[in-house]
Amino acid sequence: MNPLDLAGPQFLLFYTFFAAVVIAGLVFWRRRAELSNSSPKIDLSDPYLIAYLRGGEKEVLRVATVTLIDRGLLVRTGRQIQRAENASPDSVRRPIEQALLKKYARGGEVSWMFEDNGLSKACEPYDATLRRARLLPDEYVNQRRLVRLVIASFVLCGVGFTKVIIALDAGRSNVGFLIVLMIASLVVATAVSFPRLTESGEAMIEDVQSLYSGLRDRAGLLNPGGAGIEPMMLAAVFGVGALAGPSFSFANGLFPDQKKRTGGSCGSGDGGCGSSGSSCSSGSSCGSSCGGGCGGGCGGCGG
Amino acid sequence: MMAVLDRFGLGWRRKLALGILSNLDRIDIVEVIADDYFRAPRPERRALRTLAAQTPVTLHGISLGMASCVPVETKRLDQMARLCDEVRPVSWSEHLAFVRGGGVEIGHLAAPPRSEATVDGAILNLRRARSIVGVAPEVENVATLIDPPGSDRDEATWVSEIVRQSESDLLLDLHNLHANSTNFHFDPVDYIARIPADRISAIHLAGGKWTGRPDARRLLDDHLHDVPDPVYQLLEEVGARVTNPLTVILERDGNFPPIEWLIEQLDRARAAVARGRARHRAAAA
Repeated sequence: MNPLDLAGPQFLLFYTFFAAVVIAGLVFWRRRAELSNSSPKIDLSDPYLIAYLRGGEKEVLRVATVTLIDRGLLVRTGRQIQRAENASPDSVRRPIEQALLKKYARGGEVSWMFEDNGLSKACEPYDATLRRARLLPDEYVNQRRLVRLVIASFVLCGVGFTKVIIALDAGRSNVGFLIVLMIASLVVATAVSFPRLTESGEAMIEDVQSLYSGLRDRAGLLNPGGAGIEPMMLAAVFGVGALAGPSFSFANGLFPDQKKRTGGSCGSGDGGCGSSGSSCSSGSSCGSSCGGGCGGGCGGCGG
Repeated sequence: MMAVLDRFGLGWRRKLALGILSNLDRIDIVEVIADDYFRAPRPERRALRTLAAQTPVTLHGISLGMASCVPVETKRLDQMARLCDEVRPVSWSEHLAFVRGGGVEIGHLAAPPRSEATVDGAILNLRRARSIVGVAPEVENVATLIDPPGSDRDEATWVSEIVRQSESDLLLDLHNLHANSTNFHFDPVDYIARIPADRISAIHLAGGKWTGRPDARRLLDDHLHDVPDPVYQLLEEVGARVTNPLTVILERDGNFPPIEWLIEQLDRARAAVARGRARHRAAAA
């Protein structure tokens, strides 16, 4: 049976299903094309690079702000922050931190940072690094995405317009719903064709969260005060909402929406949280252990 | 003379992840427990591949049970082969131990009787491992608190026979050697002199603690303490005898000190190997 012979409502149903299949195919095609077999080499110890990968410059600014407050270089009063009296942009080495300390020399609303071009500029190196590694789409990836979208659009419009012509030929003019459906399917196809990250980028976030899952397990034990990089990395990898304990409660006060995104158990809107413990993770070279760890009554590791 | 490209690294543990990834300029290689990933979900295995893209990785097995008259289970070798295919490690290794028998898991890396039967069993197992995985594993000497009953030869002889008759190189665990030589009163330097130097390709360093009654103390290899001085002396001894590149791994399974402290131990290991290499060059000159 030729679906183009279907009556109006039935054809609309068919077209909805058809568009869903085309869009699903488009997503599948993009994912296959963008997922590299080999992982790129990037600096996994750079918290701001990871934060940028996970959430763009806004995420970098959130992590930097929380870090600077934790280190006592920014002072928070409600939703306002200001550079500490004894702090200077020269006392930090990362450009984004220097830019934030300059920006808040006289204090201001936290939200102002998200509209500052100078701060955006400080994030550009992260953007360039991630595009080179094709974790964010570079020009080539965007061209391929466009080609796939054009093909999908051609298919969607081809079927739709054919039906419109058939309908008009038959003297029917009730093609409005079909045209709306075509436009809607094109909008959805465009949206799914150009996500912020490449598939390799999505995978890299999951990988980094898996590699750093030990940090999340110890979130409540991390020391505040900027003594170590661990809280900063935890915030970079899992979001500032992952910082736990009263010492970091200011982070949730500053960015209350982040707690929902990264807090709680495992549900993260940022690409999953990896797994915090492998299926049989012994984390030890001691063999399968004697009912609870090596070095005990079973004769140590031996390995 | 060209410098020998020795590598010095740490065992990968989740709690050390940040320390390791932040110090890849001072850590040349990471050793990962392969068994943790045999049945791990795909994303975790992919994360391991991502780790391998950042730094060389070597895989270390703990459950195959190579030194046994019982053939290693094909399923486990297949799992190792798949993991090696995915991760592309620079090498893989397993212990000269038995871990199961008669369908019972011992739950420990047990030293087998040092006899012809276990030499033959180990060689067969190592050949199967090589044919299935595609690369022969390095084999590691284990620590034991009891002299294995049924043994008819000493450990150096037993290990040497297996290494010579197989295609596997030796991963010499110097703390295991130190513990065994302490507990069973033999000379570890003589042990090193008797094993084939050209087949030593990797070294494990670790720490341990004294255990047992005061009149019958035993040195336990527990991977929870710093590397003791005698182990560095043994490492220097190895450096003086071995000309091929060495991969030296510091194993630490818990009671973690700051990463700086672990890296300092790696630096001590570098210095020990360098002293040994210098001794070798001086003797050859």
